[in-house]
Amino acid sequence: MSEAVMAVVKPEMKSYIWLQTADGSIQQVEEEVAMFCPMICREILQTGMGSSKNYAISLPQRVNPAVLGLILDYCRFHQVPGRSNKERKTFDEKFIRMDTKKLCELTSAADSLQLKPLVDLTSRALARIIEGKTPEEIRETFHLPDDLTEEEKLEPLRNITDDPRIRLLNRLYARKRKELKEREKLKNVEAEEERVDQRSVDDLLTFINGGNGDSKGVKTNKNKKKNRRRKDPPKDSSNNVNGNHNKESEALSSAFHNESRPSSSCNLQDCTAIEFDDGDVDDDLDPAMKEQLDREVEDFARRLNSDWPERMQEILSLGQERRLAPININGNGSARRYTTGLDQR
Amino acid sequence: MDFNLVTGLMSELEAKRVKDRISALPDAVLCHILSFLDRTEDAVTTSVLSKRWKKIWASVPSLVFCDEDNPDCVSFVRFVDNVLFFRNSTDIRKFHLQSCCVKDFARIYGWIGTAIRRNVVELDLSVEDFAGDDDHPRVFELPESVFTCKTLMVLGLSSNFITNPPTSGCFPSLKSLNVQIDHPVNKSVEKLFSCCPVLENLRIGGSHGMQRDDPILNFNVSAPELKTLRIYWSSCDVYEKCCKFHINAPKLENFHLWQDPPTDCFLENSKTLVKVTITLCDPLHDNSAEADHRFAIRGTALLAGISSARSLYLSAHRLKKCCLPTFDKLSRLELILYNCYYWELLKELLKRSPNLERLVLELNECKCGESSDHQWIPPRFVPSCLLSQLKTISVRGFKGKVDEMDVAKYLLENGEGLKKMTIYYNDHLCMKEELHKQFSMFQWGSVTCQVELFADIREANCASFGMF
Repeated sequence: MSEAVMAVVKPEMKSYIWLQTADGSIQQVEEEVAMFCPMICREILQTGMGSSKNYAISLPQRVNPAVLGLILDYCRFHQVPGRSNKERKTFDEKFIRMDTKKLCELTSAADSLQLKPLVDLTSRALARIIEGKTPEEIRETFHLPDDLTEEEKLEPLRNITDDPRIRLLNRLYARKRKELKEREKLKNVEAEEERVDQRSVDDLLTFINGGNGDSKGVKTNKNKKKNRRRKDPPKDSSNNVNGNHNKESEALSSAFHNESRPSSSCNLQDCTAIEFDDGDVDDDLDPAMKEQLDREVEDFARRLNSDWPERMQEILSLGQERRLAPININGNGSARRYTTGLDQR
Repeated sequence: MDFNLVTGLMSELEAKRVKDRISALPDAVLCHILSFLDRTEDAVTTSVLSKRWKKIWASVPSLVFCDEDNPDCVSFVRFVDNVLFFRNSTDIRKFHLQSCCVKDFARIYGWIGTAIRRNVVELDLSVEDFAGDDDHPRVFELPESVFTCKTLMVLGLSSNFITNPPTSGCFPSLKSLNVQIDHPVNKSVEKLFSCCPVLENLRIGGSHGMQRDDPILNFNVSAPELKTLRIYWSSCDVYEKCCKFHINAPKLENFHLWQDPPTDCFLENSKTLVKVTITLCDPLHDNSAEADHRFAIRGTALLAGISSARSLYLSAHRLKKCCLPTFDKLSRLELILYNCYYWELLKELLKRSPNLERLVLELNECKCGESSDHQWIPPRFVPSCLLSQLKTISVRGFKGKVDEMDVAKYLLENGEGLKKMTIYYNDHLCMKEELHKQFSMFQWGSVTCQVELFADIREANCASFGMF
């Protein structure tokens, strides 16, 4: 009888939470420390789990026992309300000193537990590691695979998000190119000029959309060695770069003015005409034709600059002129499939 | 084909894949990491790291562009264009632009427009055209879309701007504004400060007066929700152009003023001040009575406006002829005393602060004033705060001179509520024992008081104020 009485009396008043990591091991943690993690807190409150060993809270897979220990250390310090900002900062600075491998694991675990302050702390630390390093150095630090082709590296801004503006631009340029071709055929100009003409438009497309199906015969950057002068945009009196950059461009900004992208200043932010490579075109193409082309492109660029709904209006009216089927707009304003009207190939 | 080589390479690849832990993090976390980078160029550079990293940069919500290190204007412009064009359509939370070479302002309007269309929350602009004509510098006009942007909460402007805020619907969400005006060329910046209905945090910094035709600026700050105001203004008095600050901020709690030299600054309506810091630097070149008089008027107006403060830090020269208000709620006073106006100021402030509990004094030398003999003449009646409220006193820059000892003695003898007095003395003369002896000979008004004497190793200089 006395044993039963004694069993009721507990030596400590603290309550503990039981946590189980993916590898099966279970540990107990003071409740106030565990509650500092939003994910654990929610589990306790919503499901009532964690109060005993048999009902331990299963932690996400990204939390292994070692990193859980670190996280609990963090929580144990920060959950104490009386600490000053300076104390917390000092703790954080010491806490974050670890190798990059552990830092990544910690970030991952903190993210899966939704412990935002710790995610911020580790993210900042990782950013400081990345800052100022060349891509090679970054790859070495984090053991990243160097799995991009040279071409991909030099065209890093391929727009994979499938922005409808890009598709529209592609379509219009394809159509433009086709029209040009047809006009040239009528004029009986030689085949070389077609290629020349095509290439200049292709350059644009290459730059914009990194060689999608539309642009045939896209020459990669390495083939373009000829020095090309760019036309001065009508409003801008700034000098144009006449570069012949052949350096292996690691830094992206130099990739932008890599001379192998002559018409690269695709300024769709304002009304400046898209710079055309007309070093070649000048010789072969009818100036009036070139002017018209420029105008249409400029017009299009200006239209792109305005708001999307207005743009769609204009495109719709444009479509009606050229006998295009209407374009579907879904809820957030992005255009859905274009109909075959524009898809003339 | 050498199989060993192939398998060797493959296992190396495997090993590499296993060791690459950072790429295993979810996209959102990688993006979060990149958002802490100081420059957008670093973020964009990660797109050449590996397939995994190719498009992470496109979702980073903060963009920082600065052409200071990039003398090639054309490539800078192209870079900004391309980043804005090629990032995906996620919101831009923060957009910082510092440009001193871009001549085509239309392009900048385009960039700002894009940020606004993407619901920018924090905007920081510094647009100058150094390449232009020095006599007629081109000044960037802030586009109206900035004023009417519904998501904008933090705005920073450095350099000269032309601002024409609309009459209504201006800055609907702006909580924090930081304006740095160096050598203003026009007065339009004045209009900014009375069109921010929900502004809580304002900082005005600048320098003025070096050019003969600098406009005189009248800052009229009218912000009903303003809680913190910092003014950091230095001017060159050569052409005697004095900018004025008139502040109407009924909810103001924190006020920090640094002026070199002092100009007119008046708080009209601030009755809930909590912490006030005032540093008025000495106008060195002018020792005339006229200057004193001007100073007196300005000082009086300024101090009258801050009379509701609970904690005051005051470092000012030549407050001799000012009329001080009563500081009813003042419980903490930190006073930097210069030998141009020493003990009188302390006396006056003690007299007028009935609820003072903590007093911190710093004794400094300065060149502006008469180095008179600084006698301590005790006030006729003991200040009421000394009799009951004042609990701690701390003095820095103590040199053990006669008048200083007199003051210390007076405070100790009359400080009936005093719990602790701390003296930091300049340790040139190894006076510790002497001081101890003298202090123990005083009669202490409070039996529970503790007196501590410390050697102050750091140099006693002008109040180090640090940028705020």
